[in-house]
Amino acid sequence: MRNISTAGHSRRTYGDLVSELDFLPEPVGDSPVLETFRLLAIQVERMLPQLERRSILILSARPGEGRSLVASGLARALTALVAPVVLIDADTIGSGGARNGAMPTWPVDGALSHAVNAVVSEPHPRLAPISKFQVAAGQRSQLQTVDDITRALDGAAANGAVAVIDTPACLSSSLALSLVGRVGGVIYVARKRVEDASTHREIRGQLDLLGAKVLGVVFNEG
Amino acid sequence: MELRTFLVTLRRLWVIPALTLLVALSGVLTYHKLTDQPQAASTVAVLDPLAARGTINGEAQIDFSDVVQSHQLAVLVAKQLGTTPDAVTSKVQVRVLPPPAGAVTNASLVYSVSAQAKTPADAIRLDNAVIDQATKLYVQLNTPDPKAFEQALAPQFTSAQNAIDDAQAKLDSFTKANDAADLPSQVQQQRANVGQLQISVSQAQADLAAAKAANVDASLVQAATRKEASLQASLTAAEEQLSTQTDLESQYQSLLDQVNQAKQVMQGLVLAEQAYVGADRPPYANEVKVLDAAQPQSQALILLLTYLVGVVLGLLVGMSIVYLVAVFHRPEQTSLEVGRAFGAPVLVRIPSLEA
Repeated sequence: MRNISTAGHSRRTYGDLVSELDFLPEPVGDSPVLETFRLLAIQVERMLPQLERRSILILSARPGEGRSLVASGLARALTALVAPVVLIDADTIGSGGARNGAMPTWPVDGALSHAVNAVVSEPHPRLAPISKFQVAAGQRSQLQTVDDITRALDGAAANGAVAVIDTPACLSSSLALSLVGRVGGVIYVARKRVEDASTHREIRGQLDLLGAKVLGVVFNEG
Repeated sequence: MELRTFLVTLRRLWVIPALTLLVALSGVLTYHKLTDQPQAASTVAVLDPLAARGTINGEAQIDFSDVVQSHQLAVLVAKQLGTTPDAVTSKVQVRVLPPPAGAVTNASLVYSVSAQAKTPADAIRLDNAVIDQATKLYVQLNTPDPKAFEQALAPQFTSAQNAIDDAQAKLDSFTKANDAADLPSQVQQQRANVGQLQISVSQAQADLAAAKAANVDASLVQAATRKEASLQASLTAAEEQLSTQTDLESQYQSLLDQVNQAKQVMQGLVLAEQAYVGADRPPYANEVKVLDAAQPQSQALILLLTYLVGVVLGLLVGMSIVYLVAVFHRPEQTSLEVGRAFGAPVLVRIPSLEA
């Protein structure tokens, strides 16, 4: 877990902060991180009507940029605006949440899994405000993984949910790029670090070639 | 590294190239303050470049530029101007000007002689003194000296003369012992005598035979017989003398040849001396001509070039430092840079919990 010590506060993580997002009855506004995700959720909520699909793909160039944090934070914040929301954890390589606390340790939603398995013929009437779908890790081909995610997306769409997908880093896996044609929009995450700008340009070029709808950049200063 | 990265670093550290440029310009300025002196230059043509041509006998000649750069000239000029030879040597430069395009192959060499001094007038005076003394010294050093030539070849001259004397003495001794003065003439004359006597003997024999056939007086026959015998005796004696002279002729000719050969050696030495002196060539002093007298030289081009070099070096060093900084000390990317590179707006910035 990534413990952060701040003056006057107990040791909390990004995951702790994200977990608080939709459980507070009133917006507090004293946490810049929470306000950031609320702002991001508002922006995405405004963009959703313009998208062909109600799904957002979170990607970045390298591991450790904060994709899982952004995905979970966005999913949490969107819950207050456009519930239900389905968070699809497709980052079978990074799994940032488990390592650094960026991803809350939510249980996998059984109802969503049931809905996915039942395909779209029988939409689940009572999907929780936020659900998590964990892509199975292990010896599975990328095509099988893409198929799993596609079915999860279909299930979310059948239930009127907005899907937020956490993916592996683009320079580590082509999974994210193979999914850009199946989602409504793409959010690119970059961290404050020494980085060559040509990397961003190359990834943007790939996204344009694949016909992705790029919504914008989330810059992680953490 | 991308050009944009370098430009961003340059914009951040522009003061470094500015400082290096300032330092370089200051260095150039200081250099000129310390070293610049007025300069005068003149142009000298050596009409017949002896250094390139050489002499008939192939010995080397002293080039005009060597003369200008010599310590001997520095001494002469220093004596004329009342200074030291070292002060002259360090202030005088000479170089061969390149021939113009299309110049003939044997074009004369043209030298540029320049001199520096504290004032333009001093520079002109020094340059003129150098040209004057260098011309004299050049002529002096390159003009042939017959006495020196004879002195250098004295052993050869002596040897040749001894060979002549020795051969002549042998010839004289031979002619005296054998009475063979002008032997070839003697042989030729003797051959004529023998021929005449042979004719006379034949005539006498014919007269004797005619007398006997005509049954003339016995006294006449006896007289004819005596005449024929006398002529025959003279002929025999003449033939014997001719034979003796002919036998001596080859020995005489050999001795005469030795004398001639010794004289030819001497003649060769005399011809070499005449060629060295070069009696049929113009005086060497005519070969050095001053095309342009000493005149002040403008330093504007040198100033411009050195300042240009200073600017280039200063900027180069400064840019190199900026480049190295950009390579080894790259700053972290900002949200603005990422958004610009990615070509999309920055939606939010997640603040650091440590802030």
